[in-house]
Amino acid sequence: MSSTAAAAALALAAAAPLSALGRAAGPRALDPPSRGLAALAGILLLFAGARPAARPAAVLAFAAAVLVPRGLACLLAAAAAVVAAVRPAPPAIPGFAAWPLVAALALALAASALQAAAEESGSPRRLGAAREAALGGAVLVLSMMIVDGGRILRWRYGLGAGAARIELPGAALVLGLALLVSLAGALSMTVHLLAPSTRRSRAGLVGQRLLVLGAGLGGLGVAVVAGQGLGHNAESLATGARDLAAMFLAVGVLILALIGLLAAPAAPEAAAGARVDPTSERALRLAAAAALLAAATAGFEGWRAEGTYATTTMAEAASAALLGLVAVQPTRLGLARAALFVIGLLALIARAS
Amino acid sequence: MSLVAWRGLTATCGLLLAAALHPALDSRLHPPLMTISALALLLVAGLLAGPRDPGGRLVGVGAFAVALAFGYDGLRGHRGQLTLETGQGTRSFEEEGPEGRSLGLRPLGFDVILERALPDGGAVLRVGDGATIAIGPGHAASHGGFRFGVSAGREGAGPSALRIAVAGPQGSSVVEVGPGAPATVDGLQISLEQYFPDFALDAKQQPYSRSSEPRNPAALLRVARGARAWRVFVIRAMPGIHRPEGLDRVLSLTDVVVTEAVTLRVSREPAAAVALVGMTLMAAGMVWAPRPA
Repeated sequence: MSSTAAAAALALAAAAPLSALGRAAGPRALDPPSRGLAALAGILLLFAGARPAARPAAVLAFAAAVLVPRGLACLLAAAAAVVAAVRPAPPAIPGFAAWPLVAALALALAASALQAAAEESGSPRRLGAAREAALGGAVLVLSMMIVDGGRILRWRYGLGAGAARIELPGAALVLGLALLVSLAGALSMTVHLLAPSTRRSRAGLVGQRLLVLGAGLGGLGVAVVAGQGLGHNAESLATGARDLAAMFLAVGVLILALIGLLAAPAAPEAAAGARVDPTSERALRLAAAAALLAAATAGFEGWRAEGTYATTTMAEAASAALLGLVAVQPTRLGLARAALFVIGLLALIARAS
Repeated sequence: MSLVAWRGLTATCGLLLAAALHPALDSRLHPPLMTISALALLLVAGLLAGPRDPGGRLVGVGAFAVALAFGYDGLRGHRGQLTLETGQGTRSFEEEGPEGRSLGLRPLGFDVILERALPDGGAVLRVGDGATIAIGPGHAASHGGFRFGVSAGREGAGPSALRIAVAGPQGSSVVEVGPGAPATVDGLQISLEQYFPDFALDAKQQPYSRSSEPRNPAALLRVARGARAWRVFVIRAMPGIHRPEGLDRVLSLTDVVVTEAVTLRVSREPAAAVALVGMTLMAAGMVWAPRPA
């Protein structure tokens, strides 16, 4: 395991809630420490540069420090740093690929734009925060349903495959409980959102408590998986690095949403009206431009290294760039389109790391 | 015109095209080439007709250039593969169409001979006019309008043959058995059923190969004489370990003959530079967009 990448992941994991708390407390009250931690993490990740995931993680961390000081960007950088920490460098990498760095920049910008757009959406602040918390719970549930081929649904979880696979029954129990509690919390919060009154309902209160418990259990589960994996077999942990990072990211997203919910005023507010935040729109356009450049770079690097631009990487990058083009169109469902763009970029970088 | 310029349609076309292009998505989400072409045309038309600002128009022009380049390379370009053993030459390659369909042999217009395979997976080629070009996993090379690169899908060298010693009452002899190439000796037909380059047993005592390198080679052979047949396990580390009942011969794996073959990717993409410029124009158009009021 790379201790510098692990330290960077911890620093970024601390920077994300600091940024969210700062935004909740006032106009960017805690931005300087959050930016400082992200910059420190970026520098630490440079020392682990031989690992493929460390380079995009460093770009994400520096972008979170300099360009887009948002919690989601810090979380994405932390998830990439987790992969860099547990997955060793391959024996030989033919050539240097620049496209993941450009794609990471696009991801940081798109994540920042998505978070800004979600915060500035037309709903009253309390309702918007409740919707984000419900979505955060759903993201955690979905991630736990997907990881390890959906084995958590059968109360099983393990790392690696074939002869090197290790079963982690303790972690499976904690993760299974986190899944159930988060599902109940997300459903309860959805019931609250569907209620005719915008006042705090009992369903909303129960949902909030369940989601807090779900986030705690999820965090504990991730820590147990990392601890047991390192104790048993570091090679198996490296194989399950993406699953670990996905759960870490999902738990982080839920925690960010819960910070927003707990900080939102209890009294209902009037809807602010559907405003378009110019900063988030600008960031989204820059993210789309960076995604297009990442696709162009992937095409050029494919042509240089393999003799053709028609490579799998180029097809994936072009697909993500198209999602960027879709996200910037001035039409309905802007948040959903921006979220799809972020997911597309995240999948692109995850497959390259 | 107003329907084509409607941003909702542009966004929908872009979304469907993104799903159609993504190689990791389910194959049911990949429509036929005609549908993909129609979606791309609608998207480009929407991007050209919709925006009124210079940045938006630049995005449209860039998208048009990219679509034109991809279309031209799809129709007039060539992509395919070529597998050569050391010293072997050819004047054509196996052309691939959309979705990896084989289009038959496409002439190169010059000779290509594999001079030697390099340890890093690369190769040194000698081409028609006597020139040599070196290619490797990280660098392709051009000649005669074609670009040659090492195929990314190459999974180590496979065995061309296993040397099997067959010992019996009249002495022993050695035969070579390969995948799809059985051998006959002393009235026994020996064929290869399964090959494990780096043999190991998993936790459930099931055989598997730890790697594709022939570090601990083993194989499961099918041995037949007339109507009778046996399955014989051979492993280089333990000669003659398996002696099935009724078989009066002892089989041992003595050696693995590995083919020094290289699979090359051959491409001709005359409009690649146009596609690159188009994408850069699209990115510039995105950045150039007017600041929202």
